[in-house]
Amino acid sequence: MIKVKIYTIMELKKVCGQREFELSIPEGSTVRDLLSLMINQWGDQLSVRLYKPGSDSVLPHIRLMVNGRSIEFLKGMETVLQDGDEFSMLPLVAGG
Amino acid sequence: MYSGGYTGKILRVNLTDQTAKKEKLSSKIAKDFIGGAGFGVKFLFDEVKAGIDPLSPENKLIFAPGPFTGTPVPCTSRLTVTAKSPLTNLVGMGLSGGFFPAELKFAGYDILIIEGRAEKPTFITIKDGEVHFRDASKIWGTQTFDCQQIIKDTLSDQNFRISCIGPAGERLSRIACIMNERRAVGRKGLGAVMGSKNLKAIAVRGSGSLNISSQEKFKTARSQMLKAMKQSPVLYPEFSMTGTPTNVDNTCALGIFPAKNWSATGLFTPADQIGIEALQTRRIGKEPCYGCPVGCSQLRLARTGPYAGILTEGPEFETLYSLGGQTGVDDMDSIIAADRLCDELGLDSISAGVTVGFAMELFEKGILTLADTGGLKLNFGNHEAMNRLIRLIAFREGIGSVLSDGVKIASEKIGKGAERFAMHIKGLELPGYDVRGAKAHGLSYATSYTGADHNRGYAFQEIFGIPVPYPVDRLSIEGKGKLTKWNQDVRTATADCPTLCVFIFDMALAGTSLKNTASLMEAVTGIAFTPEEVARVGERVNNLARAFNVREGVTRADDRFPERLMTEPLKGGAAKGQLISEEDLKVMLDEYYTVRGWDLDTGIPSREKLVELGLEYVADQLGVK
Repeated sequence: MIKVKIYTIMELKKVCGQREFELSIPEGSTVRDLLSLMINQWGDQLSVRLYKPGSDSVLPHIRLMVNGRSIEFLKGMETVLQDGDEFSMLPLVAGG
Repeated sequence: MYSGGYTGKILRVNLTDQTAKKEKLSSKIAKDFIGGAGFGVKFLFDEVKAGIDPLSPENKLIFAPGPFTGTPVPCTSRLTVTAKSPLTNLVGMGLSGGFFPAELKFAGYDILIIEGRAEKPTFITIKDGEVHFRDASKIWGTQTFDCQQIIKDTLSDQNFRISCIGPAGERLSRIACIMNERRAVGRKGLGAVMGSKNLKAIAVRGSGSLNISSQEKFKTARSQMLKAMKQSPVLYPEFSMTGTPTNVDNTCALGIFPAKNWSATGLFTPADQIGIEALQTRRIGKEPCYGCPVGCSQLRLARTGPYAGILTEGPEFETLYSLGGQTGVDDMDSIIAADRLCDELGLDSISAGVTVGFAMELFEKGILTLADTGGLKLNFGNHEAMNRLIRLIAFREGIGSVLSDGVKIASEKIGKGAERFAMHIKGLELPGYDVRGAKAHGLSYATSYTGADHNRGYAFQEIFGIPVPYPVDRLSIEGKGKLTKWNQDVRTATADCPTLCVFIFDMALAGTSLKNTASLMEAVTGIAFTPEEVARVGERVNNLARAFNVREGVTRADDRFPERLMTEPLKGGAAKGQLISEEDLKVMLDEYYTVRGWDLDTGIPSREKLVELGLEYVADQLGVK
């Protein structure tokens, strides 16, 4: 097993209950695997905030990052996670 | 010729000889520059000679709302104030919302130009066609909220809308702002320009209304805009109930919330202490700008300790950075109090906070001592010292006299290596994003015509992940020159010129903004625009502003970052290890100048580019071949 640090904000933080926490996942797990595990733990409350209705496509205003880089610039949902990686789930906010 | 939106009049007020005259707004200027930032830059370049002292009577203050201001286009009671900045000696421009911008239009003016210097403290009243010069000796010295109320009482009319300065502007602090109600034209020291003119306040009351050129086209264009706003995933209800502080949570997550004078970004991440959940416990209501259905402007009340009972508008994200992360302060109520203090005394809360954080690092490094600070223990996190120091800065007392002109001038006066810790670009203190982890945002800071300014070319692609015009990797330098040009030109043309609140641009209209502006311009003003012509206005404004700065001596060498950002990688957080090296900057600047049509060695716009933009006279003035 490897450990991954999860970082959430806003409504996703409320669902998960913490801003930062660690999860243990099998070695070789991808972002898709990690999200499945998290959906198993937090159920519909999390899935409706992450996925488009009736699909496994992530909502366009949710940014998923590994070590600070958006997964679309890595290997998307198939990005393989390493021990110690930081996985961020950031819904869109506003204001600057 | 325009047939709506514009009032068609420019009001030129000369404080030296106490005259006011009305001029006609030409159709060509309306088409070429739209309004707001465009008008500000155009009149500044044409009327303010190179090399003048920004605090002399030769400088001018140009207040410019846009053609949408005062019309039923939502979220458009905005204006720019433009002058030569005493902080940067370059184009100085600040933006503000509230009610003052719309009131200026209702009084009948597209532009208000203030010239000269009054012999003694003065305030002016503008009531439709009438302009009066009034003695301000009794209100000289008042803080900004009292000043506004006294003027309303004196005029026996609570409906005047007022822009004014506080004690900081009177004392020519180069980080002084101009306040209207609780809103600030914050940056670039424009409050000092107003103070240098002995002008305490401008009170405006208007009874007019604005024509709409085509009601039918307007109905369609406005409904499309409102539909886009409703479809935004974040404007309603979230942003309308929280305002900007959610970005503390976001930037802490991205590892780019600057901390302790940019020495501890990613290590000091006070999202739990001063992020949105904590701040909402202080929220008591909101105070929307004129004609804004969103109403992001929140009122928050401090509830603990010596700060209990102090109310402020905000604090906005930028203030939570400058008076929070930057100073290492994570006591929310002390930040609310400090924000209020900046507004009352007329200080830009961004520059003030950055200056306090700068002094704190100097104190911790022993460059400033207790003897220098008058006994103030300026350690990071000392919120009592922060609040005390803000007052000293505004009144130019004690150590505040050195700090009152911002970090660049202060570091030069203090010496002893202080320059290394002065976080500014071209003299303007850095705003709230550690650009080591957001490269296009950084390139915009380096190249913006107003110095380190988040309002000139905000890279929302990097900060929020909005994939317009395309998805962007915030940590890469690739393609950032082209992106920065797009951000600067489109934001200028569709937000800062018409004038539209930038939050609506970022959150609802980014992908359709050029079309939205073109449709609304035709419907409101009757001037036909294509989306490409709108973008061209943004390019024209950015080139003309660059030309003003070139005339003042700016070259490629000025388009760079403080040394810390180029040599010290981020020590923690999601952008750990990132910096913008000398080579990174070179690559990004080369690309940026190339897409801009600027000389690679000097950063000066080419004649070809200026002629293409209808700015041949500018090329002649600059002597470029």
